[in-house]
Amino acid sequence: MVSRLASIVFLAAVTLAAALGAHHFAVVEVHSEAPIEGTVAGVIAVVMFLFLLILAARYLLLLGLAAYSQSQPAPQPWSIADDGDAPFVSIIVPAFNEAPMIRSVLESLLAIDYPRCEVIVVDDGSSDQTFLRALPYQQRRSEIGIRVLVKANGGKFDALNHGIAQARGEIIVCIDGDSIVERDALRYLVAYFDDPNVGAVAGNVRVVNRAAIWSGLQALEYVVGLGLAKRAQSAAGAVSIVPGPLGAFRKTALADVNAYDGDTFAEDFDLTMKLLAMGWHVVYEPRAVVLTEAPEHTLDLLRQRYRWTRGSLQVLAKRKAGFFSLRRSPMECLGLWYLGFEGLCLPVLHVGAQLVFIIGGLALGLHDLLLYWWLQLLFLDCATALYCICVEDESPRLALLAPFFRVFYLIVLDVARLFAAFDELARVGMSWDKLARLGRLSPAT
Amino acid sequence: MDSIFIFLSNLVLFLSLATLVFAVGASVAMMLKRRQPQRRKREAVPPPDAAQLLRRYVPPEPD
Repeated sequence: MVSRLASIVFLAAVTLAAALGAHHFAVVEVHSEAPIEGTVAGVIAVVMFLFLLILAARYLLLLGLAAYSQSQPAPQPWSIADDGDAPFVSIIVPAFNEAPMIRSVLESLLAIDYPRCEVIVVDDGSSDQTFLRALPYQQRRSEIGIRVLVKANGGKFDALNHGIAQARGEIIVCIDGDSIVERDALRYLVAYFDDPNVGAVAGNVRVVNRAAIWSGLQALEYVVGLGLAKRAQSAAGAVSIVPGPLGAFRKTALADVNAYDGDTFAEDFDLTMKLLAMGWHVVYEPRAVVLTEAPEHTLDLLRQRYRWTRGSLQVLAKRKAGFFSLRRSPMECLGLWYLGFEGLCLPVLHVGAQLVFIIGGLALGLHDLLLYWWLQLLFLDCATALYCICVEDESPRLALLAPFFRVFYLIVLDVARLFAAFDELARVGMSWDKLARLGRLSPAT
Repeated sequence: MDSIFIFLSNLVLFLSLATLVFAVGASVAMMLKRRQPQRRKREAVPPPDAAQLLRRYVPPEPD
């Protein structure tokens, strides 16, 4: 019922956006009396329509696939009656200087409602008290055994591989060192592995610290941008990124692709592409929720997105042969094209269009076109946000941030992405640039 | 009505420009901050041919 209402709202918004578009063409007619302004206004109007067309087509395609994915029956989560047959799960926690968070993370893992699992913490040569704070949990008697391993610093991918090599489970769940996993997440993840074609399941990452404006906007982005895309891709079993905060993998699938590589800064994206290239299905389970902290300050957010962008571009470059392998590995091909479009083309179009309208407004006084552009984007984004919030059963308060999502938040991120793309093309050196933990997370009670 | 429309369209133009300027400024600040630790690391390492200016005190051997 709620989804249907949201669908109607969305369609109404698209219709209104189209009507606004038709009206602004009429405005262009008025400006066309002056030859130069009329020509430029005409060009701007065409650019505007093309961009809106691309955006609307993108939203409609994602929403259509997401709705189809939602209509398919989801596997039932593992229940108490099935406990005897529950596959053994190993949870790998790579940790580097996670002293503020490691106790909260381990407490949340001990509270997990799943009968057969173990936790392997891999301290990747931390210089703080991560190891000392994790060690008492190894000695604690509980149903869920915890092992704490320590190794020389080798990077997140190395810590994950080290943990995977020590894992006894047939299903490996990888999380981040600051992830709080909800109690029932494993039951939802594990259910998909009855299908022998499924190699990995992506969890649902939710931002927990929403009081600050930046982190609130990221919470909305995770729902509208990342969650919607994963739902759509899951319809084809081709989710392009199993996120670092929560991902479940079949151990044989990981062995098939030699687990994580260390030659990019987006090891989660790289691993997912390797799985898709080998023909494994990668799906999304929105009910398997993990809570994470999002950056609250401008520079911290831009540093994170800089790393994500350069890491993604590194993976796209590494796997460039996959762009033309539609017959050999169609899922990898689709995933690469989708992320190439989202990660590079769309930011260029978005910032470019914004520049065109600003120049048109300043140099030629075509402010009214810019107003129509904003109104149309606003309606499209607000309607999509409402739909996604309803479907994901998220807090309605996120909808208040929808008007600022594209016209402010995405512009800031897209400019940072373009800077990162230039650095990647120029092969500027980079480090992991780890963000300081804010300590906003605590285990769910 | 026209005056409201003109006001809104000028406001949108201003906000668009301000957003773009803010985005570029923040990105440049982020890039500069990223490059600073690398510059400090390079400055902290002395050049290989630097003269050893400090000598460890070696006490005289006892008789």
